[in-house]
Amino acid sequence: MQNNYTLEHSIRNLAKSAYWQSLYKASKENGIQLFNNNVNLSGLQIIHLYWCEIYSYLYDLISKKEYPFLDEEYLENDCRVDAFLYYRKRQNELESAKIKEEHLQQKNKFKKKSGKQTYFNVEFA
Amino acid sequence: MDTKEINLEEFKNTLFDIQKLSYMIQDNKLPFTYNKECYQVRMPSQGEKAEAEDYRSQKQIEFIQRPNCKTKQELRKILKKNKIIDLDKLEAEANKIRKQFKNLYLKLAPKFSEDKNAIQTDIKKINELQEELQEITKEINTHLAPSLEDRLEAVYLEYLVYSCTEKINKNKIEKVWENYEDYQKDNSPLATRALICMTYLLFNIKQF
Repeated sequence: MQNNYTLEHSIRNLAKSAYWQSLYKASKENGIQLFNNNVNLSGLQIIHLYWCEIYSYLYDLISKKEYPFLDEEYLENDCRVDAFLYYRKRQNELESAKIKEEHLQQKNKFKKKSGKQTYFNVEFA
Repeated sequence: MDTKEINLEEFKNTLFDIQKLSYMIQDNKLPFTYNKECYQVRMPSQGEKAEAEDYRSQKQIEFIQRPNCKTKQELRKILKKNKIIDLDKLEAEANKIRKQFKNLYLKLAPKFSEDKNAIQTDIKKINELQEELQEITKEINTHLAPSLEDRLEAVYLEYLVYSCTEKINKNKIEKVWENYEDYQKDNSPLATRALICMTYLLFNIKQF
């Protein structure tokens, strides 16, 4: 467990490096091959790609200044990054729940207005 | 800790060296040396995976006919019944800890980098909780290691190590073990190193 953690920490350091970030960007934009093999990726390669994508997304958020507290120093600490990813996930969940709730309220309002319900539960204004 | 263990620890640490890791990630093979000779563990092909799965199924039939073969579920019940350990209780405790550190994540995330002391306090608490969680997970895994599922997982991994470990001689790459029995008989650190490499090469690939 401890060893997996250390290895993952090394993979993350590699993924956020300027070298791998530019390589990853080039592979996305111009199709440059990242590895010697194109198929049958190893677990190490898959997890490396996963962290390349995460750090690319975080660098993008920093440049857009979407979160005032998110800066380059933030990315130096794995724990802070994990915390941010969870925070962002929770935010998305809350937003989706809010949209769902609004949608449901709209639907109920509509139902009350027409007072009719079709067999397929489709409302006609 | 004996010499063999120290060597294995050193060997594991070499895998985490960032420059070596950068080189290792370029390919789906992990090269390593043993007794000044070069070896590699590579990702299994579809055919090799199917072969390993067949072997695992064979072993499953063999294991379930043994009177002492227990699944994880059965082992849990036995451990609880005999008052050795209550794994359900431990898992509940682990979930409680997970909840606590998720709450800490929400507290830590919006902090500005200038707020160094508060950040350090949160990180310290999170690390403590993670260590606690690792201890619990380790304890659960140790108690469930003799289960049918874990033994079959080990059989599958070992079969892959046998079929995907190769010796590199100048221009020639050849299999290290002629057959699976030869691999099983091999008690040298070479077999252990190959197993470590395969574990890292696959790196919880099932999660993805």
